[in-house]
Amino acid sequence: MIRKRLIVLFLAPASLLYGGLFLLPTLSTFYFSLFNWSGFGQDMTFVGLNNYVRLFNDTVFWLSLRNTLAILFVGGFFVFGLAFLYTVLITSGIWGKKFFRLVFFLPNVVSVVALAGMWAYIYNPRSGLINTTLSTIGLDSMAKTLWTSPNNIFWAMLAALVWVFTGFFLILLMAGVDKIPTDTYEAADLEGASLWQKFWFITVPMLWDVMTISFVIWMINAIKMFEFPYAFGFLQVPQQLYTLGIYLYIMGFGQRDPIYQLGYATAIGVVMLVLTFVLIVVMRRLLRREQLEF
Amino acid sequence: MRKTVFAFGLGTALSALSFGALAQDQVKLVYWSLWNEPEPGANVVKSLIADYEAAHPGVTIEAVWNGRQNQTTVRNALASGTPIDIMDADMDGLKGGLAGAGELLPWTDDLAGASPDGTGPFADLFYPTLIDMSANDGVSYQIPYMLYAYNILYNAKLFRDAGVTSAPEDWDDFVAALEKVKATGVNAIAIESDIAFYNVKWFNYLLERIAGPDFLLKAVEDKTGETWRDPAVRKALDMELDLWTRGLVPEESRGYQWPAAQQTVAFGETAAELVGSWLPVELADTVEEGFEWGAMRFPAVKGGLGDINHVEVNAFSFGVLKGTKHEAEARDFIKFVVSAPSQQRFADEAKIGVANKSVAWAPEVATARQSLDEASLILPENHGIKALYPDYSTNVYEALHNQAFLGLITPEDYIEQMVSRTKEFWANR
Amino acid sequence: MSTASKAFEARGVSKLYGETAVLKDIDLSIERGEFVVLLGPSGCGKSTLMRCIAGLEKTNSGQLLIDGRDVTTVAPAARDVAMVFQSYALFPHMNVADNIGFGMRIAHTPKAEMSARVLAAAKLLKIEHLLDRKPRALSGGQRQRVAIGRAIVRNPKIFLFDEPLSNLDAALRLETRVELTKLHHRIGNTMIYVTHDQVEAMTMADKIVVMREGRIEQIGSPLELYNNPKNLFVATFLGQPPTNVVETTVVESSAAGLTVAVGEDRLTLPATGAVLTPGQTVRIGLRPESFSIGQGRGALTVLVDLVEQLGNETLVHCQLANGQTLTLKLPGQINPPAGSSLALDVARDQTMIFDGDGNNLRYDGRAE
Ligand SMILES: Nc1ncnc2c1ncn2[C@@H]1O[C@H](COP(=O)(O)OP(=O)(O)OP(=O)(O)O)[C@@H](O)[C@H]1O
Ligand SMILES: [Mg+2]
Repeated sequence: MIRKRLIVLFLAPASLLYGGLFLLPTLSTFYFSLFNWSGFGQDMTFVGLNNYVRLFNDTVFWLSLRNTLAILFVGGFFVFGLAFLYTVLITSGIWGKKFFRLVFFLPNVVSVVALAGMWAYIYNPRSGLINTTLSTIGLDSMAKTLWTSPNNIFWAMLAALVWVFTGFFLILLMAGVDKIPTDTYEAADLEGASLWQKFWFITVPMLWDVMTISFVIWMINAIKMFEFPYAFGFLQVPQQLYTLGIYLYIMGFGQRDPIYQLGYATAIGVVMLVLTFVLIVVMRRLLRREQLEF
Repeated sequence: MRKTVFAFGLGTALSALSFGALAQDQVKLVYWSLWNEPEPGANVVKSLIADYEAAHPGVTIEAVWNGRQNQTTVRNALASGTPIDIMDADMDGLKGGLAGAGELLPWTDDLAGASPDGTGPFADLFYPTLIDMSANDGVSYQIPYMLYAYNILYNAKLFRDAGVTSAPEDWDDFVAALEKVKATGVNAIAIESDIAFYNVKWFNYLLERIAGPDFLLKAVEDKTGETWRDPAVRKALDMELDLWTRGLVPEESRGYQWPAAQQTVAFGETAAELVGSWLPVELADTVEEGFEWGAMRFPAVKGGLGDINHVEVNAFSFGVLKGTKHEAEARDFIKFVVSAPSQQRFADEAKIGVANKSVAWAPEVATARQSLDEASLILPENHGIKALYPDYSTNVYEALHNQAFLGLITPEDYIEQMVSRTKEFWANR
Repeated sequence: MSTASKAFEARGVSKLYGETAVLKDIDLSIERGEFVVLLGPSGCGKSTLMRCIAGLEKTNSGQLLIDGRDVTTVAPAARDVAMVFQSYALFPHMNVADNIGFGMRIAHTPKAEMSARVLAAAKLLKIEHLLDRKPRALSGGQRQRVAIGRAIVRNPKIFLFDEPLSNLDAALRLETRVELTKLHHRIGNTMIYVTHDQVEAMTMADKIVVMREGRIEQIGSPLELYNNPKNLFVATFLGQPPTNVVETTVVESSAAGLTVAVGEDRLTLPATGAVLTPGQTVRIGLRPESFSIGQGRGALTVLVDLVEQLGNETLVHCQLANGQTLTLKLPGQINPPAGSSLALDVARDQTMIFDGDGNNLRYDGRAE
């Protein structure tokens, strides 16, 4: 009996914290999404699930969702592709390590706005780094590419974004690779494993836990992606760059325009939350493996 | 009385001041500002505050520099109960935001009363129709104090070099003038591909010149969306796209991210840009000494219903928050800021246009001012739809126009999408 | 026999880590089927040499030959060697069968052949009932067998073992030691085995390579090294407890013999070929088991410090009159009280005499 009380006592702070920091805000978010509310003053109109119906019929919402998913999957593919490439380089002990590190750690210490400014310079049609480089090496027709024209700007932003995020996941994965004993790789060397086989048969399975966590972190980041594409849009974020996070912000807080639809914005937030939750559950299902010890 | 108390306060202890020993006579106004602290505009506001405080020893004004998203910041602060007396924002934003939500005090009586300059009614201080334009259902909740006109801003020397000596008043002459400019080897028009709200001004103006100032709002408010099939829409679109076809806008502009295009204006590589009259100030540090700014009114279209003297503007306004405890002081300070001497300071030191029509503007923007003086009609941003239907304005109108303007979708596509998206907008409302 | 038929040969191999030489001019040749133990103190370069043989480290100079083929720059997998790591280096995410079959799997060996060979290796090591388990569900000894199984299944020209027993407890060590020796007899491949445990070395090796600070000190069969060490280092490294080294003064050196003084005592030893002058200091090496308690007056008189009873034999720690210590290993159970004095006889043929550089003056080079 006393034991039980003690358990309740010990669990209380954690439950309160969990309830206060996660459950309550989640529930209240959902609650607010059932209203039309400008955020000025107190008058809120209950509209039931109208905001969700409206979302379903909102072209810009679908566009933002599509962009968000493109960041999640296409961006994720490249972020992890590059991060894994680096882990392969590390285990192979060949060239390129330092270059990689220099290039991908930089964005972790520079502000998002500065990074966006840097990329604007890189992509500038005439005086930008890419096009001047292309024309110096004689690729004149490619040097005329308008990287930030409306049809390319999303992919240009995504390329920059991949670069911004790769370093972080590289650090995570590297911490995992560091924990793999070197003699495991040496044993594989003696058996004649190629670089690719070592990656596939040793690195991937032994990094599984770290990978799963990295994927989850990426997923959360990708779904709420805001800062970088927003900064990439400078004065006014072009619609081609809208993510769910940006659309939420535009609808709830206005960027340059007095759009103050907090209830609607909250509904977008709820969608983001549900999306995150569902994707994490699905992913954890797909990636579930037994614990490793080494 | 005040003086004695003040002397007494000083005599006892300075610290007593901060403990509110004099609270009864001391008024503290809290002003949340749209300026960023290092901006020239903020410096003028600071000097005005200092002057005002000196002239009104009982009043102190605490300014919080929030930048252009001030209204959002104010909204969030109000929700958490922060006391704010005065705030300012973009005029159309304020109209659709705090004013529309009934969070600001009306100015009707004051505007009917005497002007702070002592020269007739207060309302007459401003450019005609500016006050009406900013009103919500006929009631004014805001006092404009900064004013920008959207004009074709140009490098006067480049036009002169091309042999264009007088501003073209008609679209065809305008195009011909640009062709001359282009022939001298410079680019005619600067376009920032990513700033939809700059680019849409071309369309706003053309639509206005062709179909008159009421057309846009009518098209937006047509719940069937069918008004977008009006030939005027297609015509306006074709005319602006013609600038690209003719090469008057360089193809690479499709890749320009702000401020890439306006930099080419500053460097004398491009002759003109359709933009607000803030540009000369924004580029002041970039242009060479002696750069000669010109501003021409957007040309008329032959046979159109609009007029060359209809000018679209952007303004900044003050509002007094409903919850203020110092209404009289707040109103008094705002009147002080819009009085001619204060406004002159903005014009001289920050080189921005002002709402008080009696004030002379800095030489860089003098021609912009001239267009306002000659204006027979002043139009709000996107002809009012920004304030009335801000989400439509951003998500549908500006966004789709930018796609058509930059060639991402065809004019046919544009019209179809405008029809369906307008319908969607009204269905979702 | 021609050189080409040696299972392994190192010719003047050196290895540097940065500025430090870890292997210095190593020459070594190993016959086919030999069990060779690399022995030496920690940090002497045993593992490094082994890793160079495996190809996990590059050498800086010299040549490595396996079966007469120069493999100095050949990739590890192409050298036809298998290595058992001290940590076993098993793949934790694979079961035993997959661990053993890993090499075949990546070489795309047909499934049937693969399982047959895995099973054969597992049977040899008596782990066939463990094939489905993951390494973490195995005991230390079982893991060790899996590691050996992974090597056996490849039937390499050379097995390399780097201290494979050091993670096992004493009993299991002994048992595995015996089994490894048996295994070697059964499969007959050449094996190179690293240890710093001299008992393992003595019991398992056909040939011991004693190393010190990156050099080979001496190579020979266990008994050759024990009986005929080249120098003080080898002499003290082999044997447990280690050889006693006693400083003495030469009294007389002639063809008939060498007489040295240890304090008051005189010790006459067989003659050495070296020229020694009376009054010169030499160190002599006395194995602990070369003493016996003298009948009446012995050759050396000592005071007993401490007695350790091991049951079948007794270790007696004692002091010479001049303070130098000696450890005696005497058969059976005796119990001289501490502080008592003992008169000792010394088996003279087993004594070693070292010069100032530590060279054994009685070393017989022909034995090699
Ligand atoms: N990667 C390395 N970089 C620099 N020095 C190294 C490296 N690996 C080993 N050494 C040094 O080389 C020397 C030989 O190391 P090695 O591992 O071969 O010793 P060992 O004889 O196997 O010792 P132990 O019995 O302790 O395993 C040691 O002094 C060690 O510090
Ligand atoms: Mg070692």
